[in-house]
Amino acid sequence: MTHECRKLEETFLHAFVDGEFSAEENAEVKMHLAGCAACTHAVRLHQSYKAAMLRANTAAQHPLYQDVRERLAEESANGRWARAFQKPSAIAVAAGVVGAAVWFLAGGLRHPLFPAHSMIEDGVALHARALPLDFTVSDPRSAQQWLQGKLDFGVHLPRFAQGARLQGVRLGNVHERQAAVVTYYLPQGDGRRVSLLIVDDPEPQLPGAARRIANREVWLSRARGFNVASWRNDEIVYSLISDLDEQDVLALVQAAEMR
Amino acid sequence: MLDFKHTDRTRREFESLSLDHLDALYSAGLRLTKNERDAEDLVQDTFLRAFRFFDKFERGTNMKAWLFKILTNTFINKYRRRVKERTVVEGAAREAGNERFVTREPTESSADPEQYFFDKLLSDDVIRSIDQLPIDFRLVVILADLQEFSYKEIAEILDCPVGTVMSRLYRGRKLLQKNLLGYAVESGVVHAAQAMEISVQVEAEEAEVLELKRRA
Repeated sequence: MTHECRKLEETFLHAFVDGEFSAEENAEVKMHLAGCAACTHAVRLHQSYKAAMLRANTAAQHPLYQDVRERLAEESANGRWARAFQKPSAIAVAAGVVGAAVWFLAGGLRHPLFPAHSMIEDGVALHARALPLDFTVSDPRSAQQWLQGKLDFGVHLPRFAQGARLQGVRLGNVHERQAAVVTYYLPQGDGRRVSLLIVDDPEPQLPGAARRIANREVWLSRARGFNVASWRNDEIVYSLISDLDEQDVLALVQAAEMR
Repeated sequence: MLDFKHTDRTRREFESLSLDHLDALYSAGLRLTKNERDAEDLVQDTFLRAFRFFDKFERGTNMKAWLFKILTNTFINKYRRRVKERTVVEGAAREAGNERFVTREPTESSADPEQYFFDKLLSDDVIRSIDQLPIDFRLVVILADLQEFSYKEIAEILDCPVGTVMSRLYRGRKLLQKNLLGYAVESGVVHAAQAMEISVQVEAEEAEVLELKRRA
């Protein structure tokens, strides 16, 4: 087999067998195959591999069908506002509906499913990339001093009573705005990384669902598989970004002291 | 929480679009979690999430791909806790990158070892070999070879470029085929002599790669 044919096998022949090509492209490949024993062999081999995979994938019969339907029915019933009117508390619910409408019109619709704030998206991208730190430091006070003068806004680094240990700081940009990314690791969580994104954000709304934790309004959202908890302190937005479960994120937010 | 969207009608629409894919989701869930209990939880979770997000689903687009995106995201989020297994992927990728045993010179003789190799495989061995793959490779192999999604659909499901799908798929398949060879010898499907022939080829090519690296 020539070197060229090997390359063809890799990028082309799998894709050909996988049905990725148009009719025209298929015809071209077939022309080549007619004169090339090596590639014909590779195609047959890949076909036999794929057939073996499909043979192995006999769908397991499962007990789920009814379960899933029941759960969906429950979900549906729980979410149905109309049902409330069958209950004695109908008036209170009606008042609630009016309240909700007012809240909605006031711009209060914040839900994890609504498009994530692009600031958070950018922050998550920074967290996911794990770029080198600009300043490696374990003491929050030194980190805060280092940040002073480098950003055009003042920063208060939280002290974590437990859980997260400071690793260092990096400067960056999110959503075309200056930002600091503070990196922590969790000694109790396999040394996992947590990023605290700090940005001066004039937007009136933070993404996600609001919750009150340790006397702070905290917004929880998700982006690209990461959990994000954001809060404001002196008009500066602090967002903890990690792959921790929601419960663990909340515990971490609870442990963060802003002094 | 008051909810205006999830009426019975919505639920019926959701069920009519989604429940056909239950088997596929469950069998993929089994290969991802490797046990029935977790697979059931994963599938339940997936359906509930899909139902909650149903207003985000664009009618007329690919429901199966959409459900699989939710399934894989749900799985990855739960899976992320186990960081260690993830770091294994890189090493395995390098290893798989050097595998070439399926591309060996075809022989004219009827005893063409690989041709018979895949055709004779036991499904149990195939399943075991899939389960052995590191998660990043397992995902693309499941989606491409068991669920028969197109590269483009897989790219959308995994939220990565098509090129990444292709290279992961290629490496995943090579790694899987190496695992398969081991099992096939163990269960006597492939004779030791044939396996020798195949692995000698692998070693020869590995040596070739090493030699090239040494010279570089």
